Amino acid sequence: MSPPLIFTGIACGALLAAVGLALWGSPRQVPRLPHVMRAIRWLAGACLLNGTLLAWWGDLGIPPTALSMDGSSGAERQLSRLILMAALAAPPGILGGRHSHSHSRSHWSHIALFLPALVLAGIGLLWAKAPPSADVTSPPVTPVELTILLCAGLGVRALGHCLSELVDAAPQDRAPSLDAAYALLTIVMGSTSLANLCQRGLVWRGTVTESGLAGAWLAWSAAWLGPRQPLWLRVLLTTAASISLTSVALRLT
Amino acid sequence: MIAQTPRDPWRAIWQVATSDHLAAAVLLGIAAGLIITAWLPQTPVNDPVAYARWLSRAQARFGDATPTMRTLGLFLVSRSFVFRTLLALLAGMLLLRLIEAGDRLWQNREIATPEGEWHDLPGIRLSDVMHDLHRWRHRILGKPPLVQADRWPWADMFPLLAYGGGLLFLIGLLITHLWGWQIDGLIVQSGERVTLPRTDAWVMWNETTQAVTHSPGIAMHIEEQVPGVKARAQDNTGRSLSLQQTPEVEPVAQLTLALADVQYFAIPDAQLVVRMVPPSNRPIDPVSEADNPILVQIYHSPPGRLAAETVVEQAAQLSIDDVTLELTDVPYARLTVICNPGLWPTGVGLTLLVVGLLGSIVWPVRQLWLREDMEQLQVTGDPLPTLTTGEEA
Repeated sequence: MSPPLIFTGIACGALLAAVGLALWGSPRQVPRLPHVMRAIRWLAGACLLNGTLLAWWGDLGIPPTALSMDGSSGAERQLSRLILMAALAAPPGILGGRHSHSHSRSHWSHIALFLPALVLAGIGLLWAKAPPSADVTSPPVTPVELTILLCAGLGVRALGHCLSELVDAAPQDRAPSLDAAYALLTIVMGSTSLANLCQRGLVWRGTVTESGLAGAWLAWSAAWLGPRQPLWLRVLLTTAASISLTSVALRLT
Repeated sequence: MIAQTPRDPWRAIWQVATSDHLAAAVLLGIAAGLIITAWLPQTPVNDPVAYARWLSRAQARFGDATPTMRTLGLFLVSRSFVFRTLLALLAGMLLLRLIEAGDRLWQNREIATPEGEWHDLPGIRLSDVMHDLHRWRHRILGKPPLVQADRWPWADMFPLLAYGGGLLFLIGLLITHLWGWQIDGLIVQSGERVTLPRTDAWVMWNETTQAVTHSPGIAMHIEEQVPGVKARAQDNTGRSLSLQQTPEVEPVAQLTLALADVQYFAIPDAQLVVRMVPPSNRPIDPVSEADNPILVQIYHSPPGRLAAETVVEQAAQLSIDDVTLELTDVPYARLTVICNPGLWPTGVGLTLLVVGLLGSIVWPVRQLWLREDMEQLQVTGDPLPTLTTGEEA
C-alpha cells in the first residue's frame, strides 16, 4: 500500500472515530467533546494534506511509488485530487476558536461539518482500489487546475457548513468558505474567459473543462444568492454547486 | 368587514421576476445545460465528416440509448429551444435587476425609513458605535437619537456593475452568434497571403518568425503546424515533367501540397502515381520535425503496381526508372480564423461582471439604523459589524 493511501486511511479512520465519539457523547453531554472533535479534524486535515503531497510526489515521477509500479498511477492521481479537496474541507476554521458558536452546536452538527470531507476521502480510497479508467486524464497540475481544486475544496467545506446549519435548523451567516470559493471561481472564470477573448477572439473554446467550469460557476452563482432564501433551498443549491464543481475538478483535462 | 387593498398585478410580476428564487432556478437550469455539454459529446454542425465520426462514437458509447438521448436533445443542448429560452430569461431578469439596482442607488442617497424590529444593545453607547462605523468606512446619515449607517455608494454600485456587466456580456454573445463567423482548419503555406472565402479579409503566416498577420476585424490562432512538400519531376534529359493532382485540373510543372491528409498526384508522361502519407495525422512538433517522416509510395499506372516506397524527412530526391522526383520541405499551418463583432461588448461586460461580483462579495450592501430611546441603544436592519460572527467552525 502506498504512503498516500496510508495517510488517507488514517484520516478516514480519525474522522470515523469522531463520528463514533459524537454518537457516544451525544446522550452524555460530555463538555470537552467539541475540543476533542476539533483536534481530530486537525489531525485528519494534516494527514490528508500529507497524503496529497506524497501523491503529487509520486505523480511527478521522481521516485515511482509501489502503487504506480503496479500500473494504477492514474487512480493515484485522481486520489491526489480527491484528498486535496478533502484536506481543505476537513480541518476546523482558523477563526473557530475566537467565537463561541462552535460550542453551541449539537454533536450531529459537528459531524455534518466534516461529513463531506469524510465522503470524499472514502471515495478516494475506493477509487484507488479501482482499475485505472482510460477516459480520465490527469496531466501535471497547472495553476488554473490547482485553483479549481482549491475552489472545489472550499466548496465542499461550505457544504459541510450548510449541512451543519440544516442539522441545527439555525440559519447563520454565510460561510466564509462559500464566499472564498465563489470569489476564486469568479476570478478563474473571468481571467480564463478574458484570456481566450484576447488570444482567440472567443470567450470559450468549447472544451469539456470550460463548459463544466462555466456550469459549476453558474451553479455557485445560484448558491451565492442563497442567504436570502430558505435554509433547505440554500442547502440544496450549495449541494448542487458543490457536486458540480467537484465533478469538474475531477474531470480536468 | 375589512377592506382589502387591491393587489397590483404588475408589482407582483416584478417581484417574481426579480426574486432570488427565479434567478437561482434559471442559473441552475443553464448550469445543468452546460454541465451536460461537458459530459456528453455534442453534435457537430456544418461538417458531415465530423458528424459521421461523432455518430459512430456516440452509438459505440451509449448503445441503444442513443436515439432516446437524441430525441431528448441531450446532444444539442446549446442549440435547444429550452436553453435559449433560459438565456433570454436570464437577460430579461438582469435588465429588471439593473433597473432595480439603479433605483436603489438613487433612493439610498437619503436617509430611509427604518424597517424591521428594534433590538436592544445593552451597555453600548451610540457615540462609540458611530465612531466604529466611521472607522469601518460606513456612511452615517441623520443625527442622534436616530441615525442610519450604510455603505453607499460602492456597496450599491457593485450589484449595478454585476447586472449591467452580465447583460452586456449576453448582448455580446448574441452579436457574436448573429453576425460572427469562424473558419476552422484553414491551411496556409508559410509566406502566402490567403484571402478568406466570401470576405475581403486575409491572413498570412510566417514560419520563420512564427508571426501571424491578418486584416483588421478578425482574430486567428494556429491550431497546429502541418508538413508540406513542393514536388517537381524531370526525366533523364533534364526535361521537366508535368504533375496533375486530379483529372479535372490542368497539369503543372510544380505542385505544392499540404500534408494534412493523404495526398496523391500523377506524373502522366511517366505513367506514375505518387501517394504521400503524413505522419499519422498527429500535430507536428516544429522542434522535432525530423522525427516525423513522410511516407512516399510511387505506383506504376497502369497496372497500379508499387514501384518504390520510402520515407523522407525534409528535402529528398527519388529516382524511379528514368524519372527523378524532387521533394522540398514546405511548412504549412492549420489556422482557425474568427470574426467576432461582439468582442468588445463581451469583454467589457465580462470585466464589469467580475468586478461587480467580487466587489459585492468583499463589500456587500449593509444598511442599519440606530436609535437611543430612554438611554437605551437599539438597532434594526442588517446586523452591526461587531455583532457578526464571521465564524466558520
